[in-house]
Amino acid sequence: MTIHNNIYNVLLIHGFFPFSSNTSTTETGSSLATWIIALSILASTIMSMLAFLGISQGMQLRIWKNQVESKLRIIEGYVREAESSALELLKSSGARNPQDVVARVKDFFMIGPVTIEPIDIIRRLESIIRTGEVHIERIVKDSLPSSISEHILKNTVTLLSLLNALNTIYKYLRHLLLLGVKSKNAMLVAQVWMMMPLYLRIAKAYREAVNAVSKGIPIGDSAGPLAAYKIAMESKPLSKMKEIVKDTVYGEYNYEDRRLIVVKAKGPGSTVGRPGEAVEKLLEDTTIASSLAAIITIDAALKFEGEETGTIAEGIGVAMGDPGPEKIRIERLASKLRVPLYAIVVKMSMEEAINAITQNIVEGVTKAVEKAKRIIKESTRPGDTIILVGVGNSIGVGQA
Amino acid sequence: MQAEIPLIILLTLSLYSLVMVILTAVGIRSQRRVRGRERIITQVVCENCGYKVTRSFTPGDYVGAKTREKCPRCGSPMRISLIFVEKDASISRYLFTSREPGNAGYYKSLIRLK
Repeated sequence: MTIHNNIYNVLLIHGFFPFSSNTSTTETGSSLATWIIALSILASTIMSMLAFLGISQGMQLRIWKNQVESKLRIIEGYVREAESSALELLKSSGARNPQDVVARVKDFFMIGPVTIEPIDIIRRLESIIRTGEVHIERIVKDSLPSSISEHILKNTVTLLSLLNALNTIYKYLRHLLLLGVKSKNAMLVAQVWMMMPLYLRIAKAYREAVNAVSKGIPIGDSAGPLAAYKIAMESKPLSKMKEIVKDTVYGEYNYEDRRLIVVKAKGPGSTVGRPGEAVEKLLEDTTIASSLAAIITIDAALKFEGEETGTIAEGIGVAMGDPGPEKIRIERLASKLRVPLYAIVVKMSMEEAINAITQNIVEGVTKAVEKAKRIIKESTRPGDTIILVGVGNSIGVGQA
Repeated sequence: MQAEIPLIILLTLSLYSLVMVILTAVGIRSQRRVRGRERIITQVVCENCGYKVTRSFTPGDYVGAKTREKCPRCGSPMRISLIFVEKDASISRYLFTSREPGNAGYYKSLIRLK
C-alpha cells in the first residue's frame, strides 16, 4: 500500500469519523492518532470561541505586559547601577551630601520654549539650555571641595546627566505600561512591547557610557575634538590654545602658509563647549573676518544601518548636533561674510557615539584630518584664514 | 499495514517538534550578543623622535597629557597621543563574521543584503 493510501485512510477513518465503529479495525497506535486529531480540533474550536469573546486578547495583553515588565526590571537595574556609580564618584571626590546631589539631578528637567511663537525662539532655547547646564554644574560644584579639578567636575556632571536620562526612560516606559494596563488598552501596551528592544538598546548604551565617563575615557563623540587636536599637533603653532568663551578653546597655527584657527571644547573634562559663540567672538576681530576663506566643521554623525563605523563623508553646512543655538550662529556669520561652510563627519552608531572610542573611529578621525587638509589646500590660497571647529565632547582629549 | 499509519504521524509530529526546538535554539543563539574581550589602550608618542609605545589605560590618562615615561629610543619626554578601545574578537565569532575567504562570514556577506 502506498503512502497516499495510508493518508487517505487516516482522513477517512480517523479524521472525519473519529469515533465510528470502523475504529474497531485499527490497532492501539491508530487510536492514539485519532485522539490527537480530535483534541486538536477541540483545542482550535475553543481558541476560536475565546477569540470571539475577547479572552484571547486579554491573554495576549498579559503576555505583552509580562515581557515589558521583565525588560523594565533590566532598565531599573541600569538606573541603580548608574546611581551607585555617581554616588561612588561623588564620595571619592569628597562631596558633601552626595545622596542629596544625586536626588536633585536624577529628576531634573527642562521645559522647552513656546513654539507657536517663533520670534526669538533660538535665544529663548539657548537661555533655557544654558541656565540648565549652569544650574546642574553649580549643584555639583557646591558639594565638591574647591580643590577638585575641573575635568572631574565636568565628568561628574555628565555622569549625573546619564543617570537622569536612564531614569527618564525608565519612568516614561513604566508610565505607558501602567496606563495601558489600567485602561485595558492593549494597543498601547503592544506599542511599548514592540518598541521595547529599541529602548533597551538605548538604555544599554547609556549604561555602558557610565563606565567610560567615570574613567574619563574619550567617547565616540570625541571624534571632532580629537581631529582638532591632531590637526593642531601636525601644524606649526602661532599661539598656544586659550579659552575664548566658557569651556571652549582656540589656537592659531600655520598650515601650508595659511592661518589656521582651531576651535574645540576644553578638555579633558566632559563638555561640548560653545563652538558657535566661539566662532562669533573670533569673527569680531576684523583681521580674521576680512581674510576668512572657509569654516570647516568636523563632527561625529550617526551612521545608517549597514554602513561601516569610522567611514567618513564630506559635505556642505555646519556639522553639529546641537539643538540649534550654536549651529545657527555659524550659519548666520557664514552667510553674512559669504564664506563657504565645509563639513566632515565620522560615521558611528548611537551606542558608539556615547561609549569609549574604538579603533575604527580613531582611524576615521585620521581620515577626517586628511580630508580637512585636502579641503584647505584645494579651496583656499596662501595667506587666507581658515577656522576649523572640532565639534563634540572633549572628554579625555586635552589641548595641543 | 494499519499499524504503519500512526507511526508516520508520530514521526511527523516528532520531526515537527524537533524542528521547532532547533529553530527556537537558533533564535536564542542569534539574539545573544557575542562580545569579544575589550581592552583600553593608551598610545604614547615621543615628542622628539615620534617613537610610539602602547600600554594599558591608567586612570588620569588623557590625549595630550605629558607622561612620566621617557622614550626608550632617545630618552625624551613622551605625550599621550591616543586612547581607544581594542576589541579582541573571539575565535568562533571570527569564523562566522570575518569576511576573509574560507570563513562563514565571507559566504554570508555574498548573500546578505547590505
